[in-house]
Amino acid sequence: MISLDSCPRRSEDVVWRMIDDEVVILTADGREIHTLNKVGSIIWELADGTRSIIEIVRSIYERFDVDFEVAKVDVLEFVAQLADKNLLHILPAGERKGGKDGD
Amino acid sequence: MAIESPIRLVEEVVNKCVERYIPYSVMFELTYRCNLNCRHCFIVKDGNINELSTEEVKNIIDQLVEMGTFFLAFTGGEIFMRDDLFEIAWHAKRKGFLLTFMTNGTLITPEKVEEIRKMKPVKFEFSLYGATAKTHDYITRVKGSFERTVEAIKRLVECGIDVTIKTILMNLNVKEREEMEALAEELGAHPRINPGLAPRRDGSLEPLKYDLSFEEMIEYLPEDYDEVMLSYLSEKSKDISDRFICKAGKAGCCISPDGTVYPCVMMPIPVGNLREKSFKEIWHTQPSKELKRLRNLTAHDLTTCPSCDLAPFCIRCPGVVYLETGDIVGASPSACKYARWRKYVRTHHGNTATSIGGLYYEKTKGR
Repeated sequence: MISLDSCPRRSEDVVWRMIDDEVVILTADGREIHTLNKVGSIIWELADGTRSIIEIVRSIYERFDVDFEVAKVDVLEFVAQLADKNLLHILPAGERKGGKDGD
Repeated sequence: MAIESPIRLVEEVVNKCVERYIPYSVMFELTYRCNLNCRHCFIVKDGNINELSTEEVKNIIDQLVEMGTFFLAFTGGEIFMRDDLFEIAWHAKRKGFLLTFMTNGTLITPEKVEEIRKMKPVKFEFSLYGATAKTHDYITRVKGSFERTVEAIKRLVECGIDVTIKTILMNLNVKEREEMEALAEELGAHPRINPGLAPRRDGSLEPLKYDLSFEEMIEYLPEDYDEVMLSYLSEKSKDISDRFICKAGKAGCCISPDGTVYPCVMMPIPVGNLREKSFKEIWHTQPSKELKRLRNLTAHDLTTCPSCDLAPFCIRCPGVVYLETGDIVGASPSACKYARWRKYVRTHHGNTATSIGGLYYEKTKGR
């Protein structure tokens, strides 16, 4: 169950690169490809297991001209989509990673 | 913040890499040393080459992350001749690459199989040149090599590794083509069995003496063996001439054991050395005049190919034509030969289904 306190973490089973400010993700078998737009790419970069979803929402809210409540709904939905595709893992609030950007 | 993942996206990403000169696919030749001595090998045996150290290789791999490389293939020579292969491969794995190992497999011990099983590279590509020990060992000039290669293939397939068997068809093995396909199926591997010998990298045409004659092509090659490739090329580039330009030096390259960067494994045009410059300098900020020339080539620069009547049947590799003639914009004798064969079988047999719109007459109307 995803909540605002959950901490999303990028799967180690994917390979990703930033190309023209957009994240391109390939699955480990090289057979599936996903691209994220600018906002999605920022969320992806922040999803290192050290930040909760609400912290990511605040980052997006501070950076873009968007209503806070709208950002909250959008980020939650986006994280759920990536988790469904096993591109992100969702850590419960108490299990966040220690350091920042440990990859 | 939508996710996009339609099939066409792969092509879009590749096109973007070509436009932006992002080397999404890199072949890293870790060594030219080899325990086999294949008759047709295009590598020049140079015992004096100063191979990159483990740390130098790791440093280059780190640079490739920054450059946007996704696919990293380790090739040689024989990659298992390097004692530090796994140290290098684990480093690459941790940095996040889709790894391919290209090998003859003869040095893969049970311990190495276990290490590979843990690492789970995307795929292994094995060179196998015959369906029998007699043929394969004759080509590799090492007795027992067939048995060891087949054994390694079996072990890796058992581990769940995606294995491809690559076979270059020559006049030495073409009679075993069907048996090789059956062997690959029996082993649980994907067959990639094609003609296509290249001259040696120093320009020697010696390997071409094993190339198929026109008569052998007619007798032994299935009419549609390269239909998929030909259809793909013509689907991708409606203008025939566009098909003769490739991604080499734009979205892909090859790094040699001493750190020299080449546009492609088949194109021995040095464009810089990673002991002297960073990858970014070689690729982006200080590209050599050779690299700039290659990137600026268009189909209009080709001297004869776009207007040739064999063009619809042609799969021309700029690297091979360079090796064959030294003239990257000229005609490729081997490509011309295979195009003539494609035209011949399609004209004389006329029973090959094709999706090359506009390039062939409809079968019902005849020629």
